[in-house]
Amino acid sequence: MKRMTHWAMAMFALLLSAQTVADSLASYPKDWPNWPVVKESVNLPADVVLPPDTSLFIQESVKSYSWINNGQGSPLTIRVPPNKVEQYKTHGPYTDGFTAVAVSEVEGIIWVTEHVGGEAIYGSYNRKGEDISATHPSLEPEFCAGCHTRYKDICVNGTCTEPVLKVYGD
Amino acid sequence: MRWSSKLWRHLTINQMLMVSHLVLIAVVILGLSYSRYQSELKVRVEQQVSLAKGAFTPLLTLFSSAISGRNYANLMMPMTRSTIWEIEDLQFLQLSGISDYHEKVVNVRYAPPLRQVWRTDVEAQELSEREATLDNLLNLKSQTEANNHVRLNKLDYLINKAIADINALRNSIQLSKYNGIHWNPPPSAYQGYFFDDEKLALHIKLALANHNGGELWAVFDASELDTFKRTLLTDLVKEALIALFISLALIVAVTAWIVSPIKSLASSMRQDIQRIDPTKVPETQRSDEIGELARSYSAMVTQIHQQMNVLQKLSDTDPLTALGSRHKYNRVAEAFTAQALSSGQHVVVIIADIDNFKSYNDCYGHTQGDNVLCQIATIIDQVVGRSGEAFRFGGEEFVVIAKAQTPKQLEQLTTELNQAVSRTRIEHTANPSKGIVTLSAGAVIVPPSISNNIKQLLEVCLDRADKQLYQCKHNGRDHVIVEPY
Repeated sequence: MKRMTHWAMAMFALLLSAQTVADSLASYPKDWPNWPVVKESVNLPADVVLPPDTSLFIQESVKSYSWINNGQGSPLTIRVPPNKVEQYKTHGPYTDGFTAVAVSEVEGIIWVTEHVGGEAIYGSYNRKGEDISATHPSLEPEFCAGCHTRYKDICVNGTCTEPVLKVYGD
Repeated sequence: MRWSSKLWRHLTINQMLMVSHLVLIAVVILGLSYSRYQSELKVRVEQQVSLAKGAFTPLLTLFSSAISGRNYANLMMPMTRSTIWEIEDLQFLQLSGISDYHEKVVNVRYAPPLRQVWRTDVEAQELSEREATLDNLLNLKSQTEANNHVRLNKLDYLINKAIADINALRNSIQLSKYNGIHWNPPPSAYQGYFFDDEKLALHIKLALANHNGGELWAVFDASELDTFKRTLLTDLVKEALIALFISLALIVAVTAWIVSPIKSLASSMRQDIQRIDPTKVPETQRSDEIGELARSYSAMVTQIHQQMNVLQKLSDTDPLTALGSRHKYNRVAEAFTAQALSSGQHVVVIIADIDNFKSYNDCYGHTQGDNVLCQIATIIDQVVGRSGEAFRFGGEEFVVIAKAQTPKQLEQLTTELNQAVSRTRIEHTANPSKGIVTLSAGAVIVPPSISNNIKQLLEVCLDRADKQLYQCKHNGRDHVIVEPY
């Protein structure tokens, strides 16, 4: 009976998501510019030559976002709400609410990570707070979830542990 | 080894050639057929392996990346599944490895005929955690106000995701107990592929690119390969039989070509050597070794004939007097007599003896005795002439066989032998009342009407002539007695 209920709910959710496909799930946090910067990284350019031992996860990440800034890359800033800085340091577990934003500085893309019921959801916005998740497949929330929640070995509680700049750390 | 040498000993060259060539040809044909079978099968299997590997090549990065970060979703998503279901003849696929960050076992299986994919590494704790998450999300949803559409939307998404995850986990747990997978991983010795011809399965193994190592193990339906194998085997057996048949015909022909001239030569060699005509020895026209053997044999026969002629001449001639020997008499007398009688002529057999010749030797010495023997022999030879032949039987004893149209002529010939010797007037003081060398002779004349066995006839004649000679000696020597047969 419980399984049947779950099945019906899943079908309902699917119908709902079909109507709102590509819409950001996470909301836009208006005060994100006031959040502290916890990490500075980059969206690597399209012509980057990665070292041969670069992890497959990073390779997939670079491939996914190489289109940003017409393939020229961009600095990336991670900001976390003050109340979640400590949670971010341990990669969760996270309390509900906004968890982090990643800002692609040149392109002005703001990726938002939010937690609901301990589960991560994602959204993509511009600096004006407009939902841009439908403008590129890699900005869809499902695409974000595809990496941030499904790489169970790398991404814990919806945030990932392997920074892009680690590739060039040495 | 002893039994094989015994076996060979009992075989003729013909059989030996047949058996050895047949064995040789059979070994060659079997060896070539086996080699071709292995080679063609290997090429076909490797072709299938290449196709199979090619089908996975575009997916290897996805698989490696997923195992590296334990991304089950990527491995089980509909797009991945449908790509795998499209791979022709794929019966089973397993992706396994160790994740690169937390070194956890990752194992996902696909059963294309069942259109199923499942994890075999699901732990009970993982399922209970997801169920707890779902309960929590459902609880939160129930506490959310109905007009808070944004939050409800977020919760519905997460609930839907949790349900999907739970269903997938339960499905994996259930399918992990599925015992329809009856393939075992190929032996470790087969690093690239393994063709299981019992289960008609082609196993492929590919290494994944994640740091801690991963492996793709795929099983393909290889019944097409089995069909190819059977067809190949049938074709090879047919070809081998045709080759064997042609070889057999060639072996029979070659064996006959080699053995029949040997038999022909052997047959020639079995003949009386004197009757073999060296110019008609078989196979001398051949240009091969057998021709060489035949020509050598022909030359040998010629040489033997020459040596036999020399020997015959030596044995036919009395070395002292040059008259015919007793051996020659034995050889020619029968033919001479038979020929003369059959042509209507009379034949005389004469035994002559120099009178008191022992006394001559005693008186004049053996050298002078030999000289007398030679003189008498010459006289006898001259008297006999063309009418017959004279022989020295030994010592001072001579035998003559001669032929003539009338008995009178033969009687005269016998008397002439006696008189011719007397006319030479050779001194012989030890020959009482004569003082010269004299000759006595006994003779038997055979008329042409006699048709007895010639050999026996001659024996009788010699015996009777010898008795006549004895009678001559008894009558005082220098005497001749001739009587008809």
